[in-house]
Amino acid sequence: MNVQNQYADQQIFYQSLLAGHDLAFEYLYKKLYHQITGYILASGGDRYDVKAVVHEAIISLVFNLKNEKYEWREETELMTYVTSIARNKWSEIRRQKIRHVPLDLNTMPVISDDFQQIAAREQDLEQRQLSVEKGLALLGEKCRQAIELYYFQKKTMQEIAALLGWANEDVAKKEKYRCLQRLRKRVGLSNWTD
Amino acid sequence: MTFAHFDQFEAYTENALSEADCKALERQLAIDATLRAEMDDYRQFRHSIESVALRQQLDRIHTQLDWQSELDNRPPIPRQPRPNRVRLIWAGAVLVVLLVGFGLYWTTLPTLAEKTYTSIYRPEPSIRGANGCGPELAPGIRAYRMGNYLQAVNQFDQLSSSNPCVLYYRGIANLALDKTRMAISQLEQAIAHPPTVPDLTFQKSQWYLALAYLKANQPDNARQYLRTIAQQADNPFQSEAQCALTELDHAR
Repeated sequence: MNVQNQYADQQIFYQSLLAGHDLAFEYLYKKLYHQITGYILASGGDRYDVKAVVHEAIISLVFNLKNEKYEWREETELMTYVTSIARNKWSEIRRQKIRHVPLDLNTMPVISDDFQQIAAREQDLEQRQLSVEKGLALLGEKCRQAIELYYFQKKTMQEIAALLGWANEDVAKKEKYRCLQRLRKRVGLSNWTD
Repeated sequence: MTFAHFDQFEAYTENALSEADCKALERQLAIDATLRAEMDDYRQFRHSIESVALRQQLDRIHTQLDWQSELDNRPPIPRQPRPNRVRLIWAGAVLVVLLVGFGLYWTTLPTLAEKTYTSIYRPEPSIRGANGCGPELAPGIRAYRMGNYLQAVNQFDQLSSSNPCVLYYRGIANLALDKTRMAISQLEQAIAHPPTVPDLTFQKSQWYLALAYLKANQPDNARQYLRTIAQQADNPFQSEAQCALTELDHAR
């Protein structure tokens, strides 16, 4: 069964995205990229903008899928949904670009408060993602490994305990929690208590 | 956030809680705003971490697709509707018919010489038939006068070709039948031996030979005879020859 046919089944596609399957993301990436390229290039963007928008849109989609902000129905709806996310992302990027250009205040477009709040929150999240990436690199080796093994490679805590030489699963959980506390501190987020 | 809450959120997210614990947590989340805020904070933080891996995965996919030329950065070209094949065939056929029609029309357009011929040609008038060609030509001349040119030709063909009158009448009968080449040949023979004194049959042969050349679209040959006729004061076709020359030269 080829990828196209495989992911025509909405439930398989949805589950594969949740499970982080490479082929599912490749399929989504290609479709979204082709759908959004014309729109972005036609409105003054370049191929770097297209890449950034596609990445951010997929990351947002995954967050919404995992947190049940979107439930699968039809594939077309999922594509419509992720495309609308991408369009909003592009609007944000354009707005940021415009912000850096000195403009006559009288000609500034009026942006609603709601849109500004959503955009600001999205921007905060993106900023946080970048900070987390940097913070991870600065963590100690064992902490970074614990986080990567659990959140990136989806290893169980039992496996992580064995791999990193912690006594058992419970110890590993507590160690990982402490690592996350350190990471939050580096990123500048509020402390989690012991 | 305490470790206990964190651990509970992790288990809930991983679907590792028992059904009872899961429902208990959901009930708690529904009534406890602080717990809900903690859950949101946890989710966002976890997503921030996971998005690092996802971003790397997407970068890898992008590089791979780009390398495979699967990512087209050009703006999409609006798809042109494919021309209907049947319509194309019809359009081609109509074009061919038009071209052929135009070609035929063009080739059948009368040239200046032909136009001149049409404007000045008249079958030999009866008054000009009054000559001494001999009674043996009378049935043929009668048929010619009545417009029975084929019958006239048959009659003249029965007579000797040594008589310039016979050649002349064969020539003008064939000219009337649109057998131009034959007419030219017979009229040329008719004037092959110029007479020493002005002779009407000779003059008429020259005139109709000039007309035959016009009809054959050979204006230079026609002009040669027309000029000769136009210079002959005693030629009954002098004025017609002058008019024909004027018409031909005017359009040059």
